[in-house]
Amino acid sequence: MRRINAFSLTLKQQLAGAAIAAPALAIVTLLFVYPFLRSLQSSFRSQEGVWTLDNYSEALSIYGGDYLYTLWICGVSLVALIIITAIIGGLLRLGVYPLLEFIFKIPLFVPFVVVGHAMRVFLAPHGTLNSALSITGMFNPDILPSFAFSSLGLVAALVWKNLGIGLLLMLGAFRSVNESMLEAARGMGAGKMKLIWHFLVPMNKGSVGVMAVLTFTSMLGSFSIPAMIGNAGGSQMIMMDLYHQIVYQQNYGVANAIGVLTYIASLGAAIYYLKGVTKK
Amino acid sequence: MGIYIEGLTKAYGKKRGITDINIHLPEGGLTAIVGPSGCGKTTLLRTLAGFHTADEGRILFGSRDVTRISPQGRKAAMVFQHYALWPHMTVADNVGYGLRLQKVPAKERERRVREVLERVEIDTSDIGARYPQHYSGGQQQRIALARALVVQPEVLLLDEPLSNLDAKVRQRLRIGIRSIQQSFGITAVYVTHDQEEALSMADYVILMNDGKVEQAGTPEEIYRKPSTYFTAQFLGESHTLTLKYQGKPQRLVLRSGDALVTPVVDEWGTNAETLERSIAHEEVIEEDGSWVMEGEIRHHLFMGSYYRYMVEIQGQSMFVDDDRLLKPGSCKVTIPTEKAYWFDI
Repeated sequence: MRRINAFSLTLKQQLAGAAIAAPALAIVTLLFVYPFLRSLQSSFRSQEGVWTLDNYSEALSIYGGDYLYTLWICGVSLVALIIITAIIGGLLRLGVYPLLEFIFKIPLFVPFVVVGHAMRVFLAPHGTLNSALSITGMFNPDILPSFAFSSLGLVAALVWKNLGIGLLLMLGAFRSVNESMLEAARGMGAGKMKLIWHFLVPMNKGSVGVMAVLTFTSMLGSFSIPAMIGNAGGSQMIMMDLYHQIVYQQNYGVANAIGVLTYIASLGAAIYYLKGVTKK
Repeated sequence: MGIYIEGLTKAYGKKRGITDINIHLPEGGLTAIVGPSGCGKTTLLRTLAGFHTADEGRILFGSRDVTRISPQGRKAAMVFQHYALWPHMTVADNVGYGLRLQKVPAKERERRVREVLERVEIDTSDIGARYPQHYSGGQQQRIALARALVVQPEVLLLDEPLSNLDAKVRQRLRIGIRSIQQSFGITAVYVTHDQEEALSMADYVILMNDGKVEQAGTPEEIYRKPSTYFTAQFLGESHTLTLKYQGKPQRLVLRSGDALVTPVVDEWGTNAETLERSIAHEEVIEEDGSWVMEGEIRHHLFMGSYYRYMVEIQGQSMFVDDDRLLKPGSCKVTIPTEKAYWFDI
């Protein structure tokens, strides 16, 4: 294969290369870099325009608990998502079930707000789940817990919403594993679960990591679902706090501090993702 | 234990895989399944392994019917063409995985892993730290063989294990695999498209064609007594000539090393009349336990220890090997009758 040295390109070729990259760079600059820099700057300024760390101390003192709660909810959801997508993706990889594969990818095309509403209906005090349980006669619907307004409901909604993209990434990676490697393991006595946890997942840990990062950051920034369901009366997801600061308090400094703190939470994940992508 | 295959059939939708295979593979021996691409040899092996479910028929490992048993339960281990070593596990973990599933204690597992790796001549000094990709192709295949043998399977299945290796390593590993199989005394089934590999390694050879067993027997039987035209022309470096014999055209299959070329010289006068008659009738004649025909040496190739001649016989070309350097021109081609195989067209 002929190697191309950037220094050996003519000026015309270099300009052509820059022109091809320009739209993408412009979008990243306009829609990400510029707003982020503005947000970063604003997070260090008071409403009077004075440089200060007050926004951060206020954000952490008021919303520190919510911040940790958000990380906890996202972490639990992520672990659940990895376990569920690994098992479903593994079983789909080891057999041919096109209909099931289609069904599991449906969440990919359902908007967050619809997921929130669906979960609200499904997990509400007298929602579909509790009604179904009460039909059995074993449960009194009045004493059944309301999952919709608990952390469990939040986790369930976040997992369900991210199931499609998680499965898409996981299954794609699993399908790249050579069949004979799995057959060698089957011949040694490995059943389906062992094939998944001893082979498919560790052999694709890079792809699983990328999936984890993408879904974790998506969960961290989710707003519609926490707005519709969630921990009634207790801690709430950090995006709800950000919304409150902007809409009700109109305190952009604190809102931006929350945004930067959220960004820091996803920064580690983003670095891991970029490392994974560039390695590939 | 011997393997008994009774009426085994496997199809892929409308595409035929194997049809009505009935064969017995001898206990403790190495059986080679050979045949051209798409003949069903790999389908047969994979059905024996349990990776394919038979549509009809039975497979018995000894007296145990394994037809409907999963690969995990068959006590058969397979060695794959592309090694199929797990890249995320060290060599020790790769080889010890089967024992781990059998819940063999760690110390015992380590001892058995080292023992089997030593038997396949892999240095065991740092197997706990090295990964399969740190080894050469030949070494990887030996590790794969160790992984298969360490679980003490009843049957060892090998799917073209040497086809990814270069010629020298292949030659060495042929002997290596054969001696390991013999020392373990395990019943082995070896799939290959390389007839030389099959003939040189196996105790028993099954030649397959179009999903069926064309012929089976010892390497000598199958090579020296081909019962069908396909067998005769598939094995060895064979040539088919369409010649007139006893008044009708027939196919003569012969092998390069079995024919003798004699240039037409003065001292050949005693045969001149016979040869003339042969040419006149465009027929091949039998003479002193050999088939004799007239040919023309067209080209020769120096092959190192011998010469390879392209000889034209009745407008058809064939190769004949001889260690003498002969001049181009008319010649007499002689083939011992027991080394030439006639088949009706």
